[in-house]
Amino acid sequence: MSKTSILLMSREAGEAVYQRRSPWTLMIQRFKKNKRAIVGLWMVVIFVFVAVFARWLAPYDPIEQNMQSILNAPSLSHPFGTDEYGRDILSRVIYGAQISLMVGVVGVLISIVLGVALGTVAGYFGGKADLLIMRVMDVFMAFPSFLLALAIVSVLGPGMVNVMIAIGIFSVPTFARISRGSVMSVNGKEYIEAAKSMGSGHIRIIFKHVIPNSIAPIIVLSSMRIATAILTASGLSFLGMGAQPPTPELGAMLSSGRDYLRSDPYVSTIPGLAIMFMVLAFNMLGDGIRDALDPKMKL
Amino acid sequence: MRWNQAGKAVGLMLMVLSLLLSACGSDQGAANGTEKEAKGLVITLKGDPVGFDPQNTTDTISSLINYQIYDRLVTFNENMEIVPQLAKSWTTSEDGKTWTFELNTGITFTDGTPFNAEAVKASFERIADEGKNLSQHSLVGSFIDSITTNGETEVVFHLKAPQGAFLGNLASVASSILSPKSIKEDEEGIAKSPVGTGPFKLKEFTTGDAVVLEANKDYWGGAPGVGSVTFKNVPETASRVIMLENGESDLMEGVPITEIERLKQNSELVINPIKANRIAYIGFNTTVKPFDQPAVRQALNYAIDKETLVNKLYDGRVTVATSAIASRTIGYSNVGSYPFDMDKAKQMLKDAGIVPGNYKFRLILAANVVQDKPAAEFVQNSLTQLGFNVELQTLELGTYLETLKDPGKYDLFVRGALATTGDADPLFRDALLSTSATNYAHYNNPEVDKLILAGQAQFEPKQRLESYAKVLELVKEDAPWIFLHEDMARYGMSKKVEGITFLPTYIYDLRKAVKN
Amino acid sequence: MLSYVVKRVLQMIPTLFGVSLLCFVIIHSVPGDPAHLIAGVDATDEQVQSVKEQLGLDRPLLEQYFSYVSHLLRGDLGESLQSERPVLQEIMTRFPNTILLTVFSVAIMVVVGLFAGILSATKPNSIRDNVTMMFSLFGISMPVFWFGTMLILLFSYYWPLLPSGGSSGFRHFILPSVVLGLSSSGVLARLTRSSILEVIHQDFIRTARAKGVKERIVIYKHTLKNALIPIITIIGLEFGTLLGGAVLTETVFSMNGLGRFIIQSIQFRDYPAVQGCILFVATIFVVVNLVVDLCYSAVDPRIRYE
Repeated sequence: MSKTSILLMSREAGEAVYQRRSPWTLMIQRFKKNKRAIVGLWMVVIFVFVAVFARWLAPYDPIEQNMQSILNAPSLSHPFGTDEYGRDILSRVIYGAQISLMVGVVGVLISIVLGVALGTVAGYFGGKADLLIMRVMDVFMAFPSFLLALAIVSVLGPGMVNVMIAIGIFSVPTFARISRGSVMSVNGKEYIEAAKSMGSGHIRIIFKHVIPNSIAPIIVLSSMRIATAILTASGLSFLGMGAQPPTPELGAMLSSGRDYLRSDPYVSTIPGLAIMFMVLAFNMLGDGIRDALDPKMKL
Repeated sequence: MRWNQAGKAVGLMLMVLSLLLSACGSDQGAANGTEKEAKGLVITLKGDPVGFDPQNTTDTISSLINYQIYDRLVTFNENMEIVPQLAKSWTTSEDGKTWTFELNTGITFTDGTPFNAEAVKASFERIADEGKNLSQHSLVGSFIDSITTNGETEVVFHLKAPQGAFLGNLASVASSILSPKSIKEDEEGIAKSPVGTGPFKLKEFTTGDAVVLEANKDYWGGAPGVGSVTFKNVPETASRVIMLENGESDLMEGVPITEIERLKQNSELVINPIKANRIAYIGFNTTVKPFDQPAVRQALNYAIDKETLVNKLYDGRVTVATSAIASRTIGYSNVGSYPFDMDKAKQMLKDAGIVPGNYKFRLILAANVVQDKPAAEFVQNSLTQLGFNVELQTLELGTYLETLKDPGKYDLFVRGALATTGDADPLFRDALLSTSATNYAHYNNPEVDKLILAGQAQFEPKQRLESYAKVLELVKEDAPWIFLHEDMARYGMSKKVEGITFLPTYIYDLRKAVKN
Repeated sequence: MLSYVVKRVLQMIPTLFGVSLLCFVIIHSVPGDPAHLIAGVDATDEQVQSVKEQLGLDRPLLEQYFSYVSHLLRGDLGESLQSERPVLQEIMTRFPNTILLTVFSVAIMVVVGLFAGILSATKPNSIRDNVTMMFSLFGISMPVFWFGTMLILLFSYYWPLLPSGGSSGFRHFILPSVVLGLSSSGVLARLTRSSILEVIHQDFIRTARAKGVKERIVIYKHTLKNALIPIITIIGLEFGTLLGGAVLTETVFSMNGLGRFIIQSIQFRDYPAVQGCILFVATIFVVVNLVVDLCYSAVDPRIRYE
């Protein structure tokens, strides 16, 4: 069990009664009223923008070394200073945001695909399939989550692609549980029974009726899991098991900057702040979406 | 609950925090007092020792600690010259195959066993026994044919072949004299409970935390000046520096280069850089294209700006390597380094018909060798500028070694050549001899092989030097490596500590250490 | 009640069995051979092979696993390849450090988290609420290794009050506990807030208020008591998370705890040590969850177990 699934348990209470409108309009209305969610959304938008346009936004090459400007303090030409190889920290943070975002999104996509598939099968068919799948998930849950990611990366070897896979695997149980729960909640409903009686196949029912109904919690969970994924990935790189030099990964930058902590504190301070704000953004967005979708959502 | 302002809420949270902190602040004095009352030395290390069996460990940390627990027949002084220790004097036969040592008397091991010729014999017979698979066998044991004793105080080594570096090998930690009782009664246990004749005894070893040695008050060379030595395992460099500054520790190796200037301002510390017997190099896997062509290897040597590397990245704290071995090693001669010439490098690659963009190299580095990481990244960057794709893989030591066993898995590797015995011979045989399993460059030059083996058997120093000079010339020409720099051991030490002898092998002698 | 406990304990067995299998499979697929590391850098292939035989690493994996499990059932976790000492002993020398760190962190988390949650909930949607909740979010979002590094910079260097690393005295535990405690207190604060808000509108609270019970007493006696269940859940869960998640904190603060030992053991391919530690941590995690479930009935007598 992880922090995010706990986060999802907290929720806004005392909601005003809304007029009957389409659920999406309602949702957007609620979302707009939530200042923190809006801030989170904007932060995410900015990070995505920075990540997508990193190539044009970064003032310097993030990888090329410049021996003439080693460990320069922040200045006009290098707003965040330079690192131990004379590379511009601002440029590296910009590319670092790109990498972190990619790891977060791809990792969570992997876990959505696997987790939803497993959870849906377990919830829809029940019985032995359910028992087997959920037992295996229990085992994964009993494994301390960070250690699980760490162990998977040790097997696969260092590198960002392997980190994505590890992050993907380590979030699978959470997604499986959530989607199993929501599948089970719609499973007995009349329209599913109706579809079954009309002779629709299992696959058709699952894709047309079951999965669409479990999408809301998945969206909320995704946003929060991206936050966790970014934290975990940077933690792995911090331990030297993730990104390899000269990749401008934020956790790795922070880690190597610690050798210059006293003389040049900005080398590790700035990547740390960048990680924090990215994670913060996704947590705030996830909070906001949850409150807007269904303030009483229990996961 | 009467507060209405958010500020007060936050204030209270901070108050809780500061209360916690001040609680510990007041506690500080007392705790410091207890930590320092036993006049012991505290040294911070990067990791744990592998074990206390000097004949079966090769890592520097184990060697450093075993250096204090055991004595050897002969030892190094700080100039890496060989001086007597347990042996009073020695002679060698004309053919260089028989060595006779006259031992000091009145010495006992810390388990009470007397030290004598039999003890020396037992110790060396153990390492000479191939069947025991001891990791230092090839360095020390493999040349010994037999050992005989002549009364209590004379021991004679009969070698299979003359050996130029024999005395140096005897001075290395691998040749420590173990208590014959410990060999006989609990050979497995040596790694955990060592018994030597040295100035310190192992008191406690908590893995992951600390090794505590206590003084051997009856040490034959005079009781050591400190009551105990605690080797603390603190993997974080930043923490080791802070501990040194706070007075929590007295000594550390590997002060970050960027911190040296700042720490020099500290009036309670001495920063002591020692030129190490190690050069850092990038090895080529000469079995893969295009590194099978010497011209390409030379071109890459020209492409690395070693001056910038040592002056900028290492802040001038290391020096450019002028041969395949470090300048303080026996056998060294200055054959010069490849000058930096990017145009020449490009031209040579062109002449060899190499289009850099077509190649992708894997450069592997062992994660625990932190001091070489900047060099690895620098070389990666330089080769990238030539147009090659270079992927740097930092691997855990185990994975690194396993990768090196399979030439299909790497193209370039970062390695160091550390002369632990002060002599070039083991290094050459390890890394350049074509038959060596650890010749990871797969360098093969019959002429070099011949010279290395010739040098090994020559015990006339001048002759050896000539052979080795030729080896170094040829190796430079064939360029199985990119020669980088000679390393520096950077010690940070409290001014209260005196009398430590630092060797260029990252090892230091605490026999005469005092803490004021 | 007793039968429930027995049932839960029995359920734990297949889970832990699964953990041991998963762990075994993962660690044995890590590339790199411990025999290489034990035999030494310069060992020949023959030497490596003989080390393998000594350790039984040359046998088929399935056989190795069964022998591991059969030892396990006899309470024998095996011997560490690295130190050649019993794994259980290695765990026990480090466990006190990790458990102390966890307990201190949970204590800080409970004090700060509950307090912040109450502060927020008693005046929902005020500035106070918003600021407190923002702090909680920051706590949740902060990478612990960065927070730790910053605290070292502040309190060991700029203002040298506390040691930057080690685990040999109470003072060494303060910074790491603050790091872990504060970062998880954010989670607790948010949960406390929402749990209180949920019950505060219920009838019995209104009744209490209407009866003129003081606001403070309403909060502490009625509201908090009824909000305890989710709070206990999170404390239990965080306890487990902290136990396993201390890896990074122990690394930053050079503490000799289980987390760092696991990393070291993974790096050394010390199979028995990794398996032993993870199984140990997983067992504690599962037991803590059981205890948490049992606490529910103590807090709320309406919850019964069959």
